[in-house]
Amino acid sequence: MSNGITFYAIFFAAIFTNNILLTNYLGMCSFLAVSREVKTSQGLGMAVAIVMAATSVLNWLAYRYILVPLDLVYLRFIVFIVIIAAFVQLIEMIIERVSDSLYASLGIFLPLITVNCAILGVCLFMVIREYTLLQAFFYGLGSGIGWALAIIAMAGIRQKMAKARVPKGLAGAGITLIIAGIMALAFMGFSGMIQIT
Amino acid sequence: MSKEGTFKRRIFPVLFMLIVTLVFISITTIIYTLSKDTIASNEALRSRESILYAAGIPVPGSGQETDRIYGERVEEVTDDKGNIQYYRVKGENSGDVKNIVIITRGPGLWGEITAAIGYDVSGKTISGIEIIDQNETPGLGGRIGENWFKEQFRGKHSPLSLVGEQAAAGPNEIQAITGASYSSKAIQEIVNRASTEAQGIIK
Amino acid sequence: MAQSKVKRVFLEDLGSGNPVFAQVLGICSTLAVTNVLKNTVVMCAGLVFTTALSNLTVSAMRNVMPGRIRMMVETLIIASYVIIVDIVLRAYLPDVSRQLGPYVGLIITNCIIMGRAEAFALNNPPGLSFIDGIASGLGYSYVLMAIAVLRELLGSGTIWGYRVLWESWTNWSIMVMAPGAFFMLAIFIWIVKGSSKREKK
Repeated sequence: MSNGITFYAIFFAAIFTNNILLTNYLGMCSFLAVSREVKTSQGLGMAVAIVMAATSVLNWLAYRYILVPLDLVYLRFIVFIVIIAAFVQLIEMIIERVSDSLYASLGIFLPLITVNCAILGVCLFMVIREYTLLQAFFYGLGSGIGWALAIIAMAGIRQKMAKARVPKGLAGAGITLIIAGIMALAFMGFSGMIQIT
Repeated sequence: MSKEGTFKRRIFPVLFMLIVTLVFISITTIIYTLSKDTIASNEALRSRESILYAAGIPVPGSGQETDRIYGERVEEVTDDKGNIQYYRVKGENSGDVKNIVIITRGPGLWGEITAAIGYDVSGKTISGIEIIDQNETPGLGGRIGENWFKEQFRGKHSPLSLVGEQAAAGPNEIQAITGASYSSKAIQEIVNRASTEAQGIIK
Repeated sequence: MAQSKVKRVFLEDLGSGNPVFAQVLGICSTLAVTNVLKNTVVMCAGLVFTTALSNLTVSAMRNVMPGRIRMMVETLIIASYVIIVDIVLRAYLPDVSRQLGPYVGLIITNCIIMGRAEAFALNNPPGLSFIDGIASGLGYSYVLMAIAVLRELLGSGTIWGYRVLWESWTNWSIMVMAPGAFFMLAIFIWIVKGSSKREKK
């Protein structure tokens, strides 16, 4: 079953060289909307990373042990979405019971996550690339951390930019996209870093 | 709370969801069942076309024509357990084996790359390669499936080395894809490994 | 009367209310394939199909649909249509389907589809919702296709796979790579926002 790609290579590639946000543009909507402040970005980034790592494992199991044996692979989109939604709902309930402060800092972001395309994206990518469970977990975790890293860095830059004078038509989304483009360039610089042999 | 209220608040939503789910799952299932055979025959055709392409035979446009040529000229060689090991491809009119084709897999950047790689009877000169399945980034690593990239392998010997995309390629050099050095390298390794295998088969 | 309403919906979705410029919504899933025009066109066709039909279905159900599970039902409807798109592509356009890979599935999470269902289909009759779906899908598509044309032209010197620029043209590799899309989209938004401000004055 192994396709010869080591899990740490996948992990680091997902964070740096093939950051899901900066190279696949997944999760752009919440990225543009929430990246105004570092604090909220940290909350959302953390929530995304946790959900991504967990749902990639859950969906892998569902795919391998339910969808494939029953020949229902074509229904995977529905199943993945439902599992993600259910998991997010569950986490929300648990956090609400366990800790008020955690709920205040993390809980409010959870509803946003269900519609974050990056999460479904990770699940679909891992299936199409035929990852093993371990690879899928590290891919999910790496992508989540990579996404969090990108949004936190963006929020930091945007906070600094708040006082800068930006051409009128470019203010808001425009300048954010340009910064994202420059960040993507910077992340491309990592591409020589990982040598998988 | 009245009975009607409970029904409306609790049972109806669940019932509604259930019915909608059932309806949509049946619709998709019907469409899937109807197109299942088409998808399967697409895949079979694809693998036959790849073998012909790798052997340097021009791939006909129609599926029937491909099946006919494949049936006439390609022979599947199996090992003791009945698994297909490689393919022998005969010349157009003679019964002599002109090419051998190996289907091989190897790791790409994101997932497994499956390729058909053809050789002449010496097992040294590449007659062509075709990428059957790959999951590289569309528009970047995904360009390993483009014609200009595949065509440059014809007539070359392993071991191959890589040069830049717009650089002049020497006799055993392959132009890599800009921005997709890892995917290009993956193909290089897959082809080089297949060449060793091919020479083993010839012996 | 009815015709003017249709016209208004259409113009608004294509112009000032264009989801990409107005809210920068839904670029996620499709932006990634805009480095090749052909893939973009197929993706956009799938998106228009899904938006229109899910709008129609949601609108037809709007009076019986319980409010609490609204989002779930909408997601389910969208996912079903996307599955249909995926199956059709695999059966009839296997080459394109192979290249697009997981991106077809990502149409599900495209915010535009859900956004139109929530904002328009829930309050309008099915016919009009269907038109709105097509219009917002098209409004979104033409922006992405424009980006795709420029990216493919500058990045590979081709359009739709055919060589357009002269042979010695040096490809701007950055255009086919990830940052290119960000820059292109930002410039597009800049131009549109800049010109619409001038009109208002």
